[in-house]
Amino acid sequence: MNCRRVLNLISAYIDGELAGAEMLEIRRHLSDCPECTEEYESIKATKLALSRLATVVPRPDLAESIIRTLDVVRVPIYQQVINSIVKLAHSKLSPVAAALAASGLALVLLSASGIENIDTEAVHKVATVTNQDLGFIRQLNTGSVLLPGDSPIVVADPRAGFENPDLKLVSLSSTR
Amino acid sequence: MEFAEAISEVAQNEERRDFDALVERYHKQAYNIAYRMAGNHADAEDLTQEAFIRAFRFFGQYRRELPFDSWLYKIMSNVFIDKMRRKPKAKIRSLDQPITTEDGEAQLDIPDTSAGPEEKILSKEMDNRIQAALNTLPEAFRLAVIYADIEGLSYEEIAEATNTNIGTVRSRLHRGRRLLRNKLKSYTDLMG
Repeated sequence: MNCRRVLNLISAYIDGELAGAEMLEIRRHLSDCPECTEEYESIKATKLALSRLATVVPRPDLAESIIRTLDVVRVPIYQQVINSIVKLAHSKLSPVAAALAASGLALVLLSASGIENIDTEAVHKVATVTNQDLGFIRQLNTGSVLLPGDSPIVVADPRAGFENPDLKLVSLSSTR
Repeated sequence: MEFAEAISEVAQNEERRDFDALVERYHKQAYNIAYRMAGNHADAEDLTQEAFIRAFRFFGQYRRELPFDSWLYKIMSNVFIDKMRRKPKAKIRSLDQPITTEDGEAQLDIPDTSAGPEEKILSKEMDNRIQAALNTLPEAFRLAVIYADIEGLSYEEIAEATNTNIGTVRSRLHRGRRLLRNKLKSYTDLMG
C-alpha cells in the first residue's frame, strides 16, 4: 500500500472501520513511514481533543419549555393517518415499499377534500403572520410546522403552492 | 362515533405522555449535539426545540423497537441543514479588529477569563478554539465529525443519521478532521 492510499484511509484506520487485511497493511506501512505516522498521530490527536470536549448543559427548564411548546402543536389529521400507515407498512412491508405507500397516500390525502373544510375564522384568530414569516414559510415543505417567534403554529395550505406570493395559510387546528 | 373519538383521545394522551418522557430523557444529549452543531446557546436551543417539535409531528412513524436517539439524530441533522440553508452567511471578523459605530471606532469587549484555576482556563480556552474551528467546517463535515468524535457513533450509524452511505461518511470524516487539524495545529503546537 502506498502513502497516498494510507493517508486516505487513516481516519477509518483510527476508527477501526476497515477490514482486517487493510488494518494490517496500514499498521505495517506506519511502522516504516515517518511521514504517514506523523499524519496518523495528528489526526488521532484531533479526534482525542474532540472527544474530550466538555458536555454543554442547557438551561434547567429547557425540557419544560419544549413540553409547553408541544401543548400548542397540533398534528393534522392527514399527518396522523400517514404516520399510522407508515408504521403499519413498516411492520408488514419492506422499507422501500413502505416509503412508496406513504408518499402515495400523502398525495391522495393532499388532493382529497379532507382539507377543504377550513375554518377561516379560526385562522384569523390564531394566525398572525408577517411578511417576514411569509418569506420563511415559502422555503418550507408543504405541511411543515412553523414557529415564527411566539406566533401561533400555522401550516402552509398545500393547495396554494410556494411560488405563489399570496400564500394562503390555514391553522392546523382547523383541519381537525 | 363518540366512543371512537374517546378511544383516539386516550391513545393520543398516552402517546403524548410517552413523548414528554422522551423529551425529559434526551433533551440534554440533544442540546449538547445542537450546541456543537450551531456553536452558540441561542441557536442550540432553537435547534433542539425544533427537532423535538418535528419528532413529535412524526412520532406516529417512530418504530419503538429502535433507539430513540438514533431517530432523533436523523431529525436533528435535517433541522440543522435546513436552518443553515436559511441562515444568512455570517461575516467573519477578528476579535482584535476595532468595530465602527455611530460614535466612532470601538474595541470589542471580550470577557476576561483569567480568574480561576489555570487548568480550567486552559481547558475552556481549548474548548473555545475547537468550537470555533468546528464552526468553520462545511455542515456535512461538521455533522460527521460531531457524530463520530463527540457522540461516538459508528460509520453505519452516521450514514443513517445523515441520510448517506458509509463511503461518503468516511470521506467527510477524513476531510473534516484534516481541516480541523490544520486549524488547530498552530494552537496545539503552541500549547506543546
